[in-house]
Amino acid sequence: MGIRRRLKSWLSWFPWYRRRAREADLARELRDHLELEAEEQRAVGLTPDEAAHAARRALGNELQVEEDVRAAWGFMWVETLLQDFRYGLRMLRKSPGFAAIAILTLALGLAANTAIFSIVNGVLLRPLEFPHPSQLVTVELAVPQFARKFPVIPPNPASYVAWAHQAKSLAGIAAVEVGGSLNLTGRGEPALMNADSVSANLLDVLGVRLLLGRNFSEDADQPGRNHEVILTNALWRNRFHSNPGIIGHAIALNRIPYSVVGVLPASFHFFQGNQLMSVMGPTPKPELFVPEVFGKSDLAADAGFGIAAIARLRPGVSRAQATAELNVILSRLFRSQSFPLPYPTAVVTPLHGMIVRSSERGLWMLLAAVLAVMLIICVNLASLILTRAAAGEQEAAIRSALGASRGRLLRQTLAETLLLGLAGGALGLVLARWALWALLAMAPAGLPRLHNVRLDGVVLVFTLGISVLAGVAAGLLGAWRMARANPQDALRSASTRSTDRGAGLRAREAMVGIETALGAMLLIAAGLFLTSFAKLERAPKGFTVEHIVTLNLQLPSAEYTRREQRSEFWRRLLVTTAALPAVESSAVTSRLPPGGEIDDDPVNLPGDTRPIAERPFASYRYVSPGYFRTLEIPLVRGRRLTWADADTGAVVISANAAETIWPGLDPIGQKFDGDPGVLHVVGVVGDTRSVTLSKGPTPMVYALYGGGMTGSLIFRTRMPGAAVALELRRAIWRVDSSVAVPPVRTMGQIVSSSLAPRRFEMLLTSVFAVAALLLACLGIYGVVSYSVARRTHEIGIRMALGAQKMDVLGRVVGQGMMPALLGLGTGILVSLTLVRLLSSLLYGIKPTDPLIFGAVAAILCAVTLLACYVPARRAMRVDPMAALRQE
Amino acid sequence: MPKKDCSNRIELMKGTLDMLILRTLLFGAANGHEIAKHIQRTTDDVLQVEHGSLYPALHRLERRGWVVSKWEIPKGGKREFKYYRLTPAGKKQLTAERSEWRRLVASIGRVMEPAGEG
Repeated sequence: MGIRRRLKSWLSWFPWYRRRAREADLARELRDHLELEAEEQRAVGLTPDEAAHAARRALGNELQVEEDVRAAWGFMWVETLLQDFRYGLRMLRKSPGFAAIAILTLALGLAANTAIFSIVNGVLLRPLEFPHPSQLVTVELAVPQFARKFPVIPPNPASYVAWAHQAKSLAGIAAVEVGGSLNLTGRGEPALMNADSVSANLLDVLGVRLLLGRNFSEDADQPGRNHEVILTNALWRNRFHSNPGIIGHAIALNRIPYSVVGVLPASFHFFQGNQLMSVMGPTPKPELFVPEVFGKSDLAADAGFGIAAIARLRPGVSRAQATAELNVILSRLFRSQSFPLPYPTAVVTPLHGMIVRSSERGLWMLLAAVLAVMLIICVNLASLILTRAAAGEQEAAIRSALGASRGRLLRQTLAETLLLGLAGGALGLVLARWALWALLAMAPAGLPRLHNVRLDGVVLVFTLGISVLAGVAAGLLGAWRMARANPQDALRSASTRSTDRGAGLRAREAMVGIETALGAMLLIAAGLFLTSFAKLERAPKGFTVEHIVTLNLQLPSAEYTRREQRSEFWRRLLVTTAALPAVESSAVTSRLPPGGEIDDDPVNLPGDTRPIAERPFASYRYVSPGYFRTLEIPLVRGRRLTWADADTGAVVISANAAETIWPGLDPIGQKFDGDPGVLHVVGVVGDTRSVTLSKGPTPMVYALYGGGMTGSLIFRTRMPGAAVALELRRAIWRVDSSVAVPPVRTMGQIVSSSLAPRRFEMLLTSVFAVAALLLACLGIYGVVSYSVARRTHEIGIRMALGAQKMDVLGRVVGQGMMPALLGLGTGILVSLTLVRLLSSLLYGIKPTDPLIFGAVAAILCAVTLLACYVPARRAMRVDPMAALRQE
Repeated sequence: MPKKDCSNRIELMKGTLDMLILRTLLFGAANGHEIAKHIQRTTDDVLQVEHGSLYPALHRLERRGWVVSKWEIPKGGKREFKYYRLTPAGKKQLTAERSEWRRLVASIGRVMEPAGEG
């Protein structure tokens, strides 16, 4: 074998070489054929020229033959695809402006989509990062009679212990008491740690392996053996400098030594209390875990409905089966302790669903909104392609006359838009990193599982999919028109002279319609969110927000064992802080507003035989006398509380409590059975939204703050929070230097963070709606101005025949507005059905609010009118003579 | 011309053309031009084979493994031409197509000229 041959056979492994060899082969074969045929014809007596011509005629369309042979080679589809892409690239290079605009808009849209989807993916789609996450559930209770007020209530220790001992369908069940805090002392300044008290088996149920050390010992939930603590990774890093030697050492929590038994891995993320429990107000994530100990009094069947229960189902056990078994156990428990009928039943919810339940709807809504924006971008791109396709109709016609199949023409346009889509996707991914960064920066702190949000494989697949889809959708719309081009028609008439014909016009009108419809839907959603947010922000809270600074304190239990000691501490603290020049007034309360429904309890009137569920409910707060003055809650009747009311059962109630409990009666002096014994009403104060801002004021019962272990301090001050913080800390440490003083929070910050999820939804929806409006506007402008440019000749004729400028204007504007108005109507109709899905996200406004719908219609009309008017004015200025001379 | 008719005819021609090519190659190797001429001559120019349609057919047959091709200098010639040759598989295919063809012709014949008429 010669060297050349060997080289050839070696080269033939490379597809590109094989292809070139084959192409050369085919060209030579056809050339040979033509020569042989020509030779034969010359032999018959034709001149060389005639012979060559006859040979060509006998062969037929040479390009077509080559194409057919290539098709016979089979692997050619890859080849033609590459060719199509090369052609697409060439076309894009020829019109860089078009390509740049297309890629940029696609990239912006894809960046927004990618960013929002990565949040949806990280929060909602990715399973929880525990082994077999689908087996994990939370268990709560439902009391049928409570259903109207509380769909579910938290379980109590008695039910938890019964389940833990008896349930066969559970691999394990753990109890969590959320929202506790402990003073860490002995290491520099005392610090208040967020601490959850948990049953010793929590980490086993979750399937979490510790980074260092061991889990709680099995008897750690026994009194006296519970002085063990497990640190989260962040706390271990920040407070203990990642020192592995800490295991086995004791740290002082509330001045009691707790032995550090374990450190959690950095990958472990626990949940906020309100994420684990339906009725809980916002509570921070724990920084450490200590064993939960249930005393005898906690274990009564009717006590302590306030813990969270996380369980793991046994493999193969369904939620329904588990629920049935837990219910059997519950009824046995409640019967044995003669609990009044009806018994509560278990509500088993997947843990993941529980964690994300309050953010789910908002996130899906945002994804839908951003996808709608993407759709508008696609339609705009399709409209651009269509415009260009119409301009390139002649080229397409010539190519199709030369033997290019319709499929090939379609493929070439598709290749071009696919390239645009992919380029946009690539650029979009780069932009998405910033978009995601910005989103995470503004995301509400309460949004669960944000640590999971990243641009991972699933997100990349999503972005790739959307880019390809966008490219294909835009290309199909544009190419469909081109492939329909009839070569003969197009060749015969110069297309710029024709009036706009059927299919193209209809396609463009449909696009305008789609854009307006989507724009209307997004604007309506944004309008609803904006109005709802504004109403919520302005809604009277019943207490002042300005100039209020708050602080949560926790007393060290080892030294404040007696109630009198604690009560003494709080009183001294209030006197000391009130004496500060910066502080106008101070107060302490058991829970800051908005505190959630956790303190809601029945108001038991004397002789009331109704079941608990049917009795009136109120939220109970324990406050110092200065509470009402500090928060400026007005006195309506009677008097405020004083320190002299200690242990007398005197309470102050809110006006709406008075109306609902004693309608038409004088509430002053009324008695009822409350938390500490018999209470009597001494005063009525104004209504407040102390439970949640997004619902109307809740009936309140305020009793005098006694000697709690924890309290929230409230100060009215004219100074900025940071400045007053230092003074407050010094004052508190003058009373007791071992009390941890956490950073202060202003009431404004608290209110703002409770509105954060709504602000997030509102802001993003508004951004998307404005983007949609701009894009739709551009789309309409493009379509109308293109149609005007194409019809210059026709308009010229009309004007030469005597049409007035205003007629022309009216005609062009009318033709542009018609599809827009149809789209607007459709958008409004679709919105009317879809907005119901938003009702749970809205406050103080009906989802079908006619004002919003009307305003959106008006805005869209005005904007589309403008988008039509600008190009229409150009039509008005057409010089008939110039237009006719173009002929 | 309506599109549908057109595609029908091509479909019919394709199979027939393949068979004619295979039959031609039964006599020995031939290049494209020779095959075209042979078909034309043996059918007394009744079948006008568009030369162009021959090559896609040849490449298709080659891809199916029914023919092989090689650049050869013919006896007494001066330059190479691409010659096609029947493979054993091609021979089998020809036999199959021939019997199929006979059945088709016979059945059409029975319809067109029923035995009773003769």
